[in-house]
Amino acid sequence: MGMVICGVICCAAGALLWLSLLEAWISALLIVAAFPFFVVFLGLWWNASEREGDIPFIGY
Amino acid sequence: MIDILLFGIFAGLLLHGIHRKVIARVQGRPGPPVWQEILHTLKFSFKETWIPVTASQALFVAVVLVALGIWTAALFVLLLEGSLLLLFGMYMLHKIVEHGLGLSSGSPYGKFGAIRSVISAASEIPLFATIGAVYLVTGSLMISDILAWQQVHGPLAIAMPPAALAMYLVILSKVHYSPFAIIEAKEIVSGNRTEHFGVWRAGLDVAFALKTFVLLFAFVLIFVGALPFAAVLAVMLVLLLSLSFVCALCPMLSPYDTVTVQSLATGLIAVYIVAFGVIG
Repeated sequence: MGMVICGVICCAAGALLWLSLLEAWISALLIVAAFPFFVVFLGLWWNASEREGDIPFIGY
Repeated sequence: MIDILLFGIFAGLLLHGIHRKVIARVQGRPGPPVWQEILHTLKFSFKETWIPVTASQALFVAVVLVALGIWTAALFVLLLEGSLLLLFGMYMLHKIVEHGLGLSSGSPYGKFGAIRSVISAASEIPLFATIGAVYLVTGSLMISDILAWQQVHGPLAIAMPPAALAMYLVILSKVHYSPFAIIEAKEIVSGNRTEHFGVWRAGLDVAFALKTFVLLFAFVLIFVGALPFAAVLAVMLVLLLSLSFVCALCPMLSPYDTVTVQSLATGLIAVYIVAFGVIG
């Protein structure tokens, strides 16, 4: 759900700027806020699986 | 705007691939295909993902989002021809990302990378030399003004080569396999990125690809001037090839040698700029 919302915000910001219905800096601000979440949500949506955290490798 | 952002990510990943390929060829190895970094990023995004139990969970995830956010913002500053100070402010935030990446993981290797990122603060000093020189010559720090100045007077790289050299040093310090890349040296596994795998690593790869694209793009805009977009890409590629040659031929320096070399280079450039400001 979060991925869809962030994706829509990014596309809408780009489209509204293209149609000159939005100031460039507002469009940039919306994309800067939404795009990082979109990338991470997209990965979490299609990744293999998620599971409980493990203890990292701390040396031999 | 979103189209250029997506283009910047793919171009950045491709530039990383070309960088690896050139380094390999110079060193007499076949090297990976140039699109390897694109495949790498996709591969990581499909992998099993979790947060280590020893990690600071909020910071572990937030630092990936911040990395993506600052380089997206930096790209837009360039596209909107905003202030150079804003661009370099975002570059300084990248230092917090490097530091946060290592400290958030709870891994000793990550922490070593984070500590080395503090030591390598010397790599940011040439930025100040660049900013000072650009202001002295053009009288403004707005990219639009700098571009206008270059249209009248020609490329800034010719007017002030040491400032271009300082910025080149900054970019060299940040590319993969750089002689100054002490934060991700192999003796500390992957340094501050050791525990960021799966989706987190894919996010970081996207952010760092954007970083490479933005830094090369910024160099062209600030020191070469306004060119057609295809020419900008060509100059960026030439710049990257020169960086790849340096990375292929120079061994990675020890942390203290890194700081010494960067400080000496910055000192020489600072002396030149002060002399330029006083005498010129």
